[in-house]
Amino acid sequence: MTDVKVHVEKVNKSYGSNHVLRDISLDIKNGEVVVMIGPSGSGKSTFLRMLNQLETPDSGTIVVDGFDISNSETDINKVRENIGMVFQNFNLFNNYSVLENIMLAPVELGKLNKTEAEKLGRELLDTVGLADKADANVKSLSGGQKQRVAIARSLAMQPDILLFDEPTSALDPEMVGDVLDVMKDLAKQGITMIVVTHEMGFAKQVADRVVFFESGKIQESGAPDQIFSAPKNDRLREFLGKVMHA
Amino acid sequence: MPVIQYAIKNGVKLKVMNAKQLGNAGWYGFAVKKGENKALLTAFNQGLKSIQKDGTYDKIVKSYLGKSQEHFTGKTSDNNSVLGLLKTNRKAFIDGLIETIKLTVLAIILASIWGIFLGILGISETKWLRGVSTTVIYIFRGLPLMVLAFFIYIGLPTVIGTKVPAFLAGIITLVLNEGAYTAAFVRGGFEAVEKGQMEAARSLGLPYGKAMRKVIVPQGLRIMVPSFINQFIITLKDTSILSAIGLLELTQTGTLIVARNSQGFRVWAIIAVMYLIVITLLTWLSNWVEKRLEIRFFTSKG
Repeated sequence: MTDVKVHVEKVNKSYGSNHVLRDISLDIKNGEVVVMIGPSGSGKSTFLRMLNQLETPDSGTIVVDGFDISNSETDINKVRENIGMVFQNFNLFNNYSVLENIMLAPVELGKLNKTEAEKLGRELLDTVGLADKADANVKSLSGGQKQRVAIARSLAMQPDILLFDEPTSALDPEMVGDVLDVMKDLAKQGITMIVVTHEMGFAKQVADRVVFFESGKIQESGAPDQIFSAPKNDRLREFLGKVMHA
Repeated sequence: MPVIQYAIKNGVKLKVMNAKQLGNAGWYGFAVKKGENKALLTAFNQGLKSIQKDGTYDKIVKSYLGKSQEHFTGKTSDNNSVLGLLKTNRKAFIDGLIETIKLTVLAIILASIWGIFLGILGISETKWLRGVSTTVIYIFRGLPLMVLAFFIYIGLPTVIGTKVPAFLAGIITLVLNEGAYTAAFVRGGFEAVEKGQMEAARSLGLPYGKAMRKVIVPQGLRIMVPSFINQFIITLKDTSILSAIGLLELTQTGTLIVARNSQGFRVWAIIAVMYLIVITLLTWLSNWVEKRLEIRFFTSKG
């Protein structure tokens, strides 16, 4: 296998007359942390959701982990087992306890037995700082705690790719730090991470590469230093002017 | 006489022309044109005698009037107080109540199974399956229960060539009608589960069926519990409509008792109270089951 974890070529997507993605091409290397920024409605979330087929492209090719997921013959469930996803609204399973949320997929998919899954679940909860919440009802958690459980759940299948869809946007400001800390730790461990966020600080500190989306196109991409200190694209400059001095 | 009783039992409007002679008339009579057809008359009389002898006559009378023969013949001197009415008609009331409960329990179970099945079809990923669900719900929710009952009990046999027993016809009617309502709220309940729950389950690699069973169905069912209890109560009340196809349930029992003793107010009050008692018990039972489910499936320790 090559060093390319995600290969995207000329992807297009429209909702009716709204052309949300235009000829997007992007390669992401194994272990790379890519942060995608851009104004709302620029297509970055749609693009992220295509990487595990929650959305399907109208045209173009998406290869993840060597599997062509733009081909309908591919068994998407197998590919998804290796891709974790964290949502803006957490989407924890309301009918299970915290620990059961984490154990569900590995047990149901026959990857681990119950004892192994519980052990892994408790370890993961420990790494996100919520070991004492294992048996809690998910409804009793704060937003920040929920999102950390969601991250632990996405790690339960031991994926090598993690997708984050605005993971801190639904959180109270004082909760954001806890979640970002967990994400920073993960970045250090060499997992391939693709993050859609409005947290410019996180992008600056953690990203290997920052990709700027606007009007369904990648307008500019590069190392965080270059993007934030020496942006070339006019729209990027305008966008940064708004978000950095707000 | 049996003809008149049968008419009373089925609520047919019938006027007795020569009421004075009624007492003298035999149980059964045949009408032939006066003065003619002597041979036919003899044949009738002979036939009548022979069926009276071998018991066929009693069978015929029984098959039309059923148990009502023993139940609904009483004297006018009976005690007509509420207690007296209860006492005199105890067996009729109990039998009617049992029939109502039998209909209700069977219909609730079968309609729930059918409704959940139809409801799950209604949220299927396959378009034509959704279409089937929508159409079936549309038809059976749209038909008045009594029309459906008549169609199955009276209409269908003429096409399929065999009689449909009234009880079976009643159950089929209830299952189709209540099942359609159940399917509608089952579908709604599943659709009310946040879309993100399915996305989260699928993004972990769970196939559609597993995601449904483990995540969507348990949460959907929880949303539906109050609707289920409501539907159970409606089912119980709807069984009364089946008196129209002659099922001897509680309402029909009331009709027959009143037809004999004319104590409309008291008898219907008794029947009403009996319904209320059963509905109360059913509600208690449902709430108790709901609490148990809540403890077993929807909360976790700690």
